[in-house]
Amino acid sequence: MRTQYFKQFGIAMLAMIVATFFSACATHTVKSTSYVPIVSDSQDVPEDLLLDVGVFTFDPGIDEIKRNEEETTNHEIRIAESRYAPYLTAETLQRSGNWGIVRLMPNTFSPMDVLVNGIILQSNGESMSIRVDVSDATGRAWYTKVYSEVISQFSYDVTQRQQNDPFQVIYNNIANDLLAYRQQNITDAQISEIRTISEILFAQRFSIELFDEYLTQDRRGNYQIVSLPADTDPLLDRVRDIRERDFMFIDTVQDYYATYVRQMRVPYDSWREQSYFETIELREIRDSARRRFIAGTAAVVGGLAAATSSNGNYVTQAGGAIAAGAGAYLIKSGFDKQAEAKLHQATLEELGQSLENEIAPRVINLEDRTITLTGSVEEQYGQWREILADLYAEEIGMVREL
Amino acid sequence: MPAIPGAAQGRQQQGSSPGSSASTNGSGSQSGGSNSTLGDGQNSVQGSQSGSQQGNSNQGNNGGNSGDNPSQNAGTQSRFPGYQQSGANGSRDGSSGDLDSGALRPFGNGLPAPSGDYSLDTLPSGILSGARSGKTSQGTGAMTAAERAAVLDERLRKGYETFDGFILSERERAQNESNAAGSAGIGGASGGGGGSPADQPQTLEDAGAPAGVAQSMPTISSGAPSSPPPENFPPPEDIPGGRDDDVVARQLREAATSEPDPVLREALWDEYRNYTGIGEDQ
Repeated sequence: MRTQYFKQFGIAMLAMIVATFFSACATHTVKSTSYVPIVSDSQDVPEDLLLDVGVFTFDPGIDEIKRNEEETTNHEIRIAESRYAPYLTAETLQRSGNWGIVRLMPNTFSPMDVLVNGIILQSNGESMSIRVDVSDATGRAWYTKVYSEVISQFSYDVTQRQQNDPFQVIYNNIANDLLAYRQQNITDAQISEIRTISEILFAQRFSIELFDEYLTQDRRGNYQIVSLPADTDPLLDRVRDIRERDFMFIDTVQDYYATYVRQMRVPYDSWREQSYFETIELREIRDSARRRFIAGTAAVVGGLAAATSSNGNYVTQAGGAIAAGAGAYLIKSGFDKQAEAKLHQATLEELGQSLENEIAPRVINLEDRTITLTGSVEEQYGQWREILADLYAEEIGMVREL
Repeated sequence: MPAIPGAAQGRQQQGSSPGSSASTNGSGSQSGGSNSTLGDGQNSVQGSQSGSQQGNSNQGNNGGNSGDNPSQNAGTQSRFPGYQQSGANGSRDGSSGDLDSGALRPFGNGLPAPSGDYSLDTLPSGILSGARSGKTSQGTGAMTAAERAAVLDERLRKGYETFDGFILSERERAQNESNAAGSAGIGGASGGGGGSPADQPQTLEDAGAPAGVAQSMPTISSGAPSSPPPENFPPPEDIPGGRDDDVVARQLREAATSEPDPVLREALWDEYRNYTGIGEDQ
């Protein structure tokens, strides 16, 4: 009988201990404080074996937002980031010195040797996650990889910010992986093939009839070279002249993006820094509330079991009542934490709204200018297409006259 | 450097030190494209040449583009020689480009009908007066194919001039804006994401292009209308950074910094002081 009393008293005490343990537990997030530098190719690559890279505007990943992040993720900020992050990616790739020309592409019309697409999976100031797809002009898929980084408060230190973006490691890793893939998987012959195909694809944009025969697509849709135009062909020379102008156009758009990034940087960094602290607070409070609910429930159940035990003596019943009371207190404090979490959530929403007001007009302006310039350029290209077609006809006529 | 370092610089030679802009690296090799000179938008010389250009480049320097060679900006180069060097399939007879034989292959499979929708009558007078295939030209009889090709080449060249002038002026403006944005913070001179006429890109017509091409080129209308963002006013000296502001204080601060009326603005700042207890501290 005495043993049973101790057993029931033990259950009540165990419930309290478990409750205390659960409520005291904290989850820890691993944060990166190490900096991954950009790797440069150790070999001198001939200029004609350098691949040009086109980075496209990222997918803002609105459809990929997790349910528990929906309320704290501002769609307009994501859209702004989808123009900001690829610019930093292109800038980092260019800085690596491993590639030819690296550009943030205004559209998909201009073929480039290597194509980088991305989707933003998460961005809240504390962590960022981007999925990157890389392919080349032939249509061959290189790889898909998710880059994630959880940063420390140190990344927002003023001295650090002056040097790099807080999430610069992600962009450095993208650049390093791209180099590693090229070194390990792409031969010099393939590089030449890729570059040739991207040039013919551009020529096809101006005269599909004249340049169609040089490429074919295999079953997977990848381009293969069938034959090559004469290198001295005057029409090819003209297409090259036009391509130089196309690069000029894309360079102009780079300047638009540069302005946009400069305008966005200060408010965006400010938002990220504040969001960093709020996100951590929110997560810790939510975790704390969850632990309190679990522990409180366990204590109440255990305490009630002991308190209502028919075999229990006074000590056991008293212990059970204390445990149940402590559990109820824990549950109440869980509700308090939930209310506190809502405050932080509201703060995050407010911060997002504030940044949205700041940057949404800039995004619209960027798009507006890019679309307007693209329209003007395409109009000019249309005229050049017609002139090229007539020139071809006249040159055929000259051959016949001879 | 506002633009992507080296993005407008032409090919960056391998081995240039990472972290440094290729734009000013004398060792960076740039492949030239056409050798047109476009400082005034008038002297474009048609033709393409490939090769490396050694020496310093001032590409990307602020506002320094107007006299730059656009081909350096473009940074393109002839692709096919590189392919020949590979020695892989696709090696080509120097005279033909055919993979398998030395026979000359013309482009395409047939003679495309000249479309002629590019409105020759919009070209500057004196260049091509009524010269569509020579049929209506000056009543001097039919032109030879070579003459017609020369006329079309001239049209192409004029188009390049117009385009180059337009793009270069647009680039200069964009780079100036980028530099201005770099020196302004929140609520500074860079405020105003869009809406002002100066922010809008030029059209080819605006660029003062020759009447021929420019006038025949409509520009698409702007996309979504952009509304100017509210102007921001700096807080008074006694107002701290606001790092620890709560939601209400932040709203007050936001309202005050965007309030154009100085009286109302000061009232909002007073409210902010009362709410945050700044006055009490002092």
